Amino acid sequence: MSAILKTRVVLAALCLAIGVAVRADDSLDRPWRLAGFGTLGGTWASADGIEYRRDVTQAPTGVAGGAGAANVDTRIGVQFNYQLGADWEAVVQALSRYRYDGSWRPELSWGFLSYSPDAALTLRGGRLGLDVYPLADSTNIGYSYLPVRPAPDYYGGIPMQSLNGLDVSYIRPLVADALKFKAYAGLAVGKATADAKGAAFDLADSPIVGAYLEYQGEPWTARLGYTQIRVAHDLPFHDFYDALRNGGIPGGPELAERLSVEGKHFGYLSVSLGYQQGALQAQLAGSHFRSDSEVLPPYYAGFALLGYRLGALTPYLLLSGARSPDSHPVSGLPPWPMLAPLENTAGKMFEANLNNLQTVALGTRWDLSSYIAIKLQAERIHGAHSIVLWSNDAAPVGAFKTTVLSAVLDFVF
Amino acid sequence: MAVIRLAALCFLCLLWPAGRAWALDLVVVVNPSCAVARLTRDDVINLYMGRLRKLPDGTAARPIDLSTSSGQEKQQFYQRLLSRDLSEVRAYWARLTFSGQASPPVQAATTEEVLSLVHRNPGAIGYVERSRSDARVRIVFELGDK
Repeated sequence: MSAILKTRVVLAALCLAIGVAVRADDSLDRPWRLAGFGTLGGTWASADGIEYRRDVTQAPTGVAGGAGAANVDTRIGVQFNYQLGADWEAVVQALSRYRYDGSWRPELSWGFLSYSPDAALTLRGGRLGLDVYPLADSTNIGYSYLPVRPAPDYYGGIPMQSLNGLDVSYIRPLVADALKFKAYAGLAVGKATADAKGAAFDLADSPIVGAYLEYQGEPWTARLGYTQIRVAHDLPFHDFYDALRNGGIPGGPELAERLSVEGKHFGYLSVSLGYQQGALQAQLAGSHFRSDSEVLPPYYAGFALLGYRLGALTPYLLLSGARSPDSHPVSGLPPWPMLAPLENTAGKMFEANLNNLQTVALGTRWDLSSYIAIKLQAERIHGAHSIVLWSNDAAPVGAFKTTVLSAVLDFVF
Repeated sequence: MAVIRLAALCFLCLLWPAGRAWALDLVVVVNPSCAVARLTRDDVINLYMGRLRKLPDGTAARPIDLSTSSGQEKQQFYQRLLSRDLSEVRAYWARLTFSGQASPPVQAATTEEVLSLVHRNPGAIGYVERSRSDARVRIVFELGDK
């Protein structure tokens, strides 16, 4: 079956599922449940050359220099749950969004079997959501969070959203609240855009393990988690690596090793705190990305969110930022004119994934019903480097500032 | 000037919490065969927010919600239990449901359906107006309880 035909079949199935979901009600007696979510959004950015993206799994969006587009936030997904007896459940979720290759090809977000031998213990196997998003769990469910999108400075650098593997979670009462522990292991699923020509950094076959401890109470929630991955495949710049390794260049093999990610370990530590009491809600989170490769430098990221509900409106303030430690790597290649292209490429690779930016966003959520919300957001970003924002040929050299305006309609059904 | 006044009025309407109504006398009920005599407010919160999936006697819990079209019960239940609007509760469950971590409470269309489901399922737990509860269920928590 061709890719186009497959896409049409999956889109038709999505539309059919949506039709059924809209008519379906939950029932204790019925074993299945169909539900869905989606976002229709438009985003506009002011600065030339700095294309706005919500994460590294999106191709360049064209949202820059006074141009807008709907591809940043627009998405739709459906989920089917089927109860297989008292202890077993099957779950499948399909999602269509703007992807790393510039297409909207639907993909399997997750599909797993869940086994709960005890009301406190759950084991799952199959394609699972990567549960490293504190206070959001998934970045695709626009309706479930207050801002237009989870802070890209904080969440946007994670290049995968699922894994093929197993997880186990255990939840137990803690005084009047609950404490949850979860551990997971498997092979990562995810692709990040590597260049404007459509090359992708593929995380397939990369072993990934992680765990978190979460306190769930009223009004406080808190989470501490750590995830580690050993990347199986290198960045898609094979000619570059080959020239350094096999070109007989002094220092070439050493530079290739410094810029390689294959077989190297990367870690993600995150801690978060949430508060919701009456009309007030607040979130605070911090993370550290640890790296064994100079092409994906380590960075710290954080965000703070404050919202206050006034009837159907919830105005909010979101502050976020990310920063890589200062470093000025040199290639170590001889200063030969014939090596200038390699030197230039190495310099770009050292810089491409640095983070140094801050964002201030103001917005409001308007709940039209308990199924639909409209959000308007204005944000001001300034910095010098971003792993998420896409710098095209018109990008300024050095520091940049940009203003981003967004309007979205989120819904669940 | 009239346009400005109209716009200000519309804005105030947006800010005004929807569905103001007299407080209902809501109670939480379980199946009479359940060994649980009383639930605390924290128990009810944790069960309805999916944090705990067992009743205190060890029975697997099956929380039952009322649909929004059934009247004021659902809105008042969550407002008085958690001080949250239904849209906030829906957003909370969307987060858990679509990350495959938990399923929201089953939706019953009417109070009669809640009573029937609780009567037929040993682990079921529901909320109804006190005046509607009958011999098919047993009251384990009153919304005025601390």
